[in-house]
Amino acid sequence: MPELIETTVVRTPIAGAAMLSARDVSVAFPAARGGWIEVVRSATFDLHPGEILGLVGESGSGKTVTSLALMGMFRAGSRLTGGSIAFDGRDVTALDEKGWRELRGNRIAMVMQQPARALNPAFTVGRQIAEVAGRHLGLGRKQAWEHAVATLDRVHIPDARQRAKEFPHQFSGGMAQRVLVAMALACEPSVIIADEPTTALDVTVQAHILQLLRELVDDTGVSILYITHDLAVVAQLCERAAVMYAGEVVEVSDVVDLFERPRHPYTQGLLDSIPVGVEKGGRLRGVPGQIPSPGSMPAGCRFHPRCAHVLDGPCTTTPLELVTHDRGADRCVRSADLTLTGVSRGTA
Amino acid sequence: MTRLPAEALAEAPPAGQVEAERARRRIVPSFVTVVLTRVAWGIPVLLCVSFLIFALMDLAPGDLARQILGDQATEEQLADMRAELGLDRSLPARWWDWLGGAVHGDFGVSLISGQSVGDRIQSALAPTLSLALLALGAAVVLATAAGCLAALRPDGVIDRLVTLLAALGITIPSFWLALVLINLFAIKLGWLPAVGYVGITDNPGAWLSHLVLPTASLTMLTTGELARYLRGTMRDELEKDYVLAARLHGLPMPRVVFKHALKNAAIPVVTVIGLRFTTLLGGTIIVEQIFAIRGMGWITVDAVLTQDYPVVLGVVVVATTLVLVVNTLVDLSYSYFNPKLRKS
Amino acid sequence: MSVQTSSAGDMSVGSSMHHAGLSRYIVIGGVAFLLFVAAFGPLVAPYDPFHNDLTVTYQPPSSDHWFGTDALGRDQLSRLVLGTRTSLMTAFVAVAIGLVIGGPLGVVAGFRRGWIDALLSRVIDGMLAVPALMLALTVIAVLGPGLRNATIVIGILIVPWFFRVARAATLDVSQETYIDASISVGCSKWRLLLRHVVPNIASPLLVQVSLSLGLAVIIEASLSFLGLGVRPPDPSWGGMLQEAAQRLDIGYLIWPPGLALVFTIGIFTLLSDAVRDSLGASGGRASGA
Repeated sequence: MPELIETTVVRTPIAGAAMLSARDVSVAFPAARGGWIEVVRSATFDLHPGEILGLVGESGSGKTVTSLALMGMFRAGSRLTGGSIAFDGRDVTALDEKGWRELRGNRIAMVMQQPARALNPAFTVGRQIAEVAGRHLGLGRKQAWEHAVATLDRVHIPDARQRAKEFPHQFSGGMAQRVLVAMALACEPSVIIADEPTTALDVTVQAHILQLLRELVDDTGVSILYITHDLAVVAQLCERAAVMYAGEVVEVSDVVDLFERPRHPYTQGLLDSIPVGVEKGGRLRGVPGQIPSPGSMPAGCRFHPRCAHVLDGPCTTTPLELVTHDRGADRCVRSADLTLTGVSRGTA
Repeated sequence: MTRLPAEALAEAPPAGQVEAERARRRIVPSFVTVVLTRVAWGIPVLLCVSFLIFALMDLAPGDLARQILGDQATEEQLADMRAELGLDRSLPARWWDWLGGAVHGDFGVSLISGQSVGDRIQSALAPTLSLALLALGAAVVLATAAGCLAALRPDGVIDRLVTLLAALGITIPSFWLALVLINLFAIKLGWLPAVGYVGITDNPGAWLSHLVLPTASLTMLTTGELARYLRGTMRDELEKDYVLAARLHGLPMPRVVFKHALKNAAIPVVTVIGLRFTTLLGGTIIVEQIFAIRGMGWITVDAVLTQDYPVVLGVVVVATTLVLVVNTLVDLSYSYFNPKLRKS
Repeated sequence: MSVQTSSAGDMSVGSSMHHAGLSRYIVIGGVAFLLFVAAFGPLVAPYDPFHNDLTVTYQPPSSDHWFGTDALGRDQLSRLVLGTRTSLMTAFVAVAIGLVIGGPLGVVAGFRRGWIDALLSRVIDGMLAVPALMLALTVIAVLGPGLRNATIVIGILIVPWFFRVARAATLDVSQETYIDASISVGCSKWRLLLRHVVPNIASPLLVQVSLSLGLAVIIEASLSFLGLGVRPPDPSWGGMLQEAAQRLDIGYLIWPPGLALVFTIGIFTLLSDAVRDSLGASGGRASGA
């Protein structure tokens, strides 16, 4: 955790057209008594080539629904109720299932969390990778198997040839997560969406996975959308980050700016919650209140009931839009006049 | 499965992971172990069953010696006959004798025809096994299709239809269904034969056509139950993360359902198959009567009606053995479906 | 990775609740109907079920004979109605036999464990390994045919289910720590049995009762079909199907007894579902028919 301050790397902003971009994406689920409940509203951010973008938020912020929507996956009867999604310059908002099947696992792949659950327990690891590779790359059985072994090797699984013949339950958590990364990599995608891939793992194992991801980006130029609730990971790994709260993107900016000059009080709240430099026996700070449920959103700014800087009127009446500025975007009417302190550096 | 030093260093697992590793290396039953365990369980059961029935036969009214020699026999002749038949010895001793023969396939002779019981059973095995295995196979195929389709769209049309048919399958008695099918397909429509059995080696086409209606009657119950189970387990599996992951990798839904999810959903259902085989064998009794198929069921009824006890005993023991064999095969199949059970 | 649905996730629970209520009414209605027919049906039946009238053999359904007549000119409806009484009574008595023998044996096995348990369980396993109808036939072979013997045989066939349920439930209860606590304060084994074990196994046993009723009905019908249960000229559904089997070109003899069987088994199946649902998870340990 102390690394947070010392090792934040200054990274150059990425220029160029976005690889994956979401504009005003809204996703709604059918409600029990008819009608729809909006779970994600107006999510907007860009993922540039060769960049690692963090998508930060607590549980219930809508990050997973958003990431699934970016792959055209809508579960439990949900649908896209607004906005557009573009992938590699192509509008995929209205893409049909067949079209999405061409892209998924092939050009855009996901690494899920909890590898024990994300792998089919009844088939060997090698077969699972080979199946995906064979299908998208048109490889024969033997070729696909070789490719699977090579991919496992690439994610630094020792003795890959032997381990490809093993079943998921024979892998430890960290190794299994590497297998998931391998599956995502198998077809050399342009975008990898990693949904909290290290949440279920130990800290030391987590460090290895992050290292692996960094390596992949440096080697192949793949873009990664890294979903997490852990700001420390964002600091270590990401160039830019988007913060989500209650189904909305509330801030997008460079990681350095995010930590040192945040523009949204929620971001500030997240930073304040990091237990850095807290003396033994001292209080941990959190954000007071609770995340609102999708059916009962506050009027105006969704964060206002928990905000220390709330202004009656501007913050409490009309829903806010995401406003872009030169260095990013934010959804706070007061961001221009607020000067948030950023991450605390502990007691001097 | 040894781990290379590099891997161990890279991992540096804390205590929790060591525990998990130990658990994975636990000794797991192998093929031979499973068979031996089943046999070890099955043998006492067979012994028990055979003894109980042997004892039961003994209770039956009627003097065997008199039955053979007739009412005119003298007491002395009867006593001699009893000695010859070994009837003067104790029950356990007689049972032991019988057992000794049974192990070699010698189940004694029929009281009515004098024919070897073993031979009689042997000729009856083919029809019954054809019927039972066909019914089981049909049930598995139909139930798989129905269960998977139903689970794909929960509460959809197919789901409701399958649930209804499954419920019907469980409530409709197979022998009544047989009568209805004969009335409809054999008599009214004349498409299929109503009675008889033809050996597969004699005429495969006739073998099949004679077995269609009997199999259809028998299979309903099992299909219904299997479909119900499979629908349930498939629904659970389709909720799981690996199914979502497979779809996120671009695999088409049919393949995800029939290959990926099915293998996992099958495990509890396979158990039911083993249990249902017993019921199937019981069902053949009446179905064989109706369709005049001289299988084991038919022989059982015949022997019961004529009080031909050695035949009854032999048939029951053979039937029970079949049940045990099928259950052993079911046990063995678990390790195919659930790799966690394989020796690591 | 579960989707962030929050309160949006709980859909369509309402529809299954609706079904539960409806099926409860069906069960109650169905059982009441069956009991009514069994009790009062023969009193109001149009004809004497045993009355032969050779001038009206093999009559199709008509206003005189709603379900037609059989080979001896007997009215099918009246026979069907009397058969209802036979089937239900046999089922009830057989299930009672199974409960009275299997239940206590199961409790003893579960409670005492040791060699008693091992021995009884082996015997029960043996009984379950033999196909039910085959076992029934074997015992009938010895006892001789007839309704009384058939009822006993069916009861014996049902014993293993009750044994298993009672044993499993007793084992469950004995694991509870309050048993140990009671023993440690000097509670006698009998008292323990009566006050703690028995009330707790009541619900699984009740579920098993409802499950076994359907099984009993079908075995009785099977035995009667083979001529080994209810003997002619007494009417029974199985017997009527046997007569129908003599003339399979005639459809109308096949349907009434068959549908009666399907209806009865269906009602009992729904009954067992309803009993299991209302008694909660504690019911339904051993699988039934």
